[in-house]
Amino acid sequence: MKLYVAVLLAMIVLSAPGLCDPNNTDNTGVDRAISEIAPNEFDVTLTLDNITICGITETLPCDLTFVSTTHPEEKVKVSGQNISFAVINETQVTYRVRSSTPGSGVPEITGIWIDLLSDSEGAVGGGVMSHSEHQTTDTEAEQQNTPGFGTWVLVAMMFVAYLCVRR
Amino acid sequence: MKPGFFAFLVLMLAVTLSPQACAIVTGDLDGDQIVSEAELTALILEYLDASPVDSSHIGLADLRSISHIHAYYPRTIVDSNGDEITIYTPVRRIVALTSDCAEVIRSLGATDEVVGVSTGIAEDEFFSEFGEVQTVGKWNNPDCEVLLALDPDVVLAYGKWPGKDKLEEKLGGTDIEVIRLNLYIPENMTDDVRKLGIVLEREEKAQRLIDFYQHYMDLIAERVGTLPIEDRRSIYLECYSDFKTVSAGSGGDQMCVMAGGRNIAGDLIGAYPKVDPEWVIAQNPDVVVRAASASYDNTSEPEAILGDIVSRPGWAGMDAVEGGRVHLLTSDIYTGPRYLIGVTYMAKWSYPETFADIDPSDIHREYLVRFQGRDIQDTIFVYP
Repeated sequence: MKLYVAVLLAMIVLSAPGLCDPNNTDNTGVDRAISEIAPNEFDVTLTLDNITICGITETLPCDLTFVSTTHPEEKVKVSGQNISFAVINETQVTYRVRSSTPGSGVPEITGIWIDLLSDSEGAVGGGVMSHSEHQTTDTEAEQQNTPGFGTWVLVAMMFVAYLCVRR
Repeated sequence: MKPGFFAFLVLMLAVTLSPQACAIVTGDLDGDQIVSEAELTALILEYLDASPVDSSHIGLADLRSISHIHAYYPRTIVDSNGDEITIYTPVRRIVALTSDCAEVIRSLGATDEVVGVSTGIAEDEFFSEFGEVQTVGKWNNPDCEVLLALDPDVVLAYGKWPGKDKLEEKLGGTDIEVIRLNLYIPENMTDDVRKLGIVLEREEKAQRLIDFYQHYMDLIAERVGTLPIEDRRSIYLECYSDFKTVSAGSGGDQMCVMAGGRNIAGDLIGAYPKVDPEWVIAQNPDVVVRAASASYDNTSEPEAILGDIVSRPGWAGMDAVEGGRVHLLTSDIYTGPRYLIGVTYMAKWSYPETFADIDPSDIHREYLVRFQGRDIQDTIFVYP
């Protein structure tokens, strides 16, 4: 195989989204699924991906009331509209809530999770936000709009392709 | 103040004031040195429930540390003396009394955690990063007052030395763990590296080093490991002084066997027997290896030592001398963590055609670069 063909192939492979991204932590986080089990009553299921020891706090809107959970009682703390869970070596937590607003649809619950065996934390259902990302969000947003490595790879690929055509 | 955090503080105070101290395990609320699931659960809920402006509750860094301890501790090994050692918290302060331990610590990437070394390590150029580290006396007779002042988590020593009267008995009543590992015995090397990896929570790096050893040991064994005893090259290994050799139970004997050789003194009584010059001549070894105490930076010194050996009365007709198979092997690669390099040289000297494609200095360089973060300088480790 000619060198420039190998270089071109390598660039294509390396430029695949996420392949070389050291911050690619798509598989870590906590997702939320809500199902209506009776009128105005909902089961909320939190599913943990790749987290062994986790702290989760769910914040219910004002019209929701916590009813129960299948999680062990000693690992749950209810404080006003906040429900905290200590989750150790488990992958799922389910709790039930009731709405005081008839026909309000699927409730909008917010929550945060902390992976206690890594530096990861994030919003429930919202992916991963590492500690450093907390502090550099603005910078990163700016960087995303700035031509960077990907652009240079594209330019280099076009140049190699041009060399291929010439030969 | 939160109840869990209060209990945590009270326990810390009680343990600190206790005359017979045991290791303080952060997050252990009942004093059993283990962070149970219930204890961790209480602390997680306390953290999540606390107001961010309330400084009396446990912080996230502490909570992560406690979670780590819950997940990975305690961890237990059996050291080279057969003593069961249990570590309850991550080892952050190490005193290394032996250069073999120091070398493996470096391979495992834990040099930053070394707070004390023996004088021999501090004076050894190979361990230049420990030049500023506090010295704690000799490897076989440490100054325990200095050692206690360093407040280490563990002290790493050989199985026999220093004696318990010079170490454990003087450290009694403290939470310092003395771990004895014979990292100078080739046959124990992979096991002891694995144990140190467990203690230092560096199992992956330990495995990489073990894989390195195993790869080359397998390569040598495949070529000469199955040779019948009568076909093996006979080796006379002289250990640092004239006519002091090695027998079964010594690291040198193990190296002879690993190299596919037959140690002419393997059956003698005692691990390091002294033999008569006539006995060596009568054995007529195929290969003579002299272990030298230090590497050389010029050829004149090893040349002189070698000259003295081959000119011994009656040695001129010895097969090893006639065949030019008398070699010096320096202590850097004799037994210890670099025993593999010594074994490879011995295999090549014994079976030059079988190992024509192997250059032991390349393996040495690979080891130094991959595991020690340095390259071979202009140093003579074998001669010729």
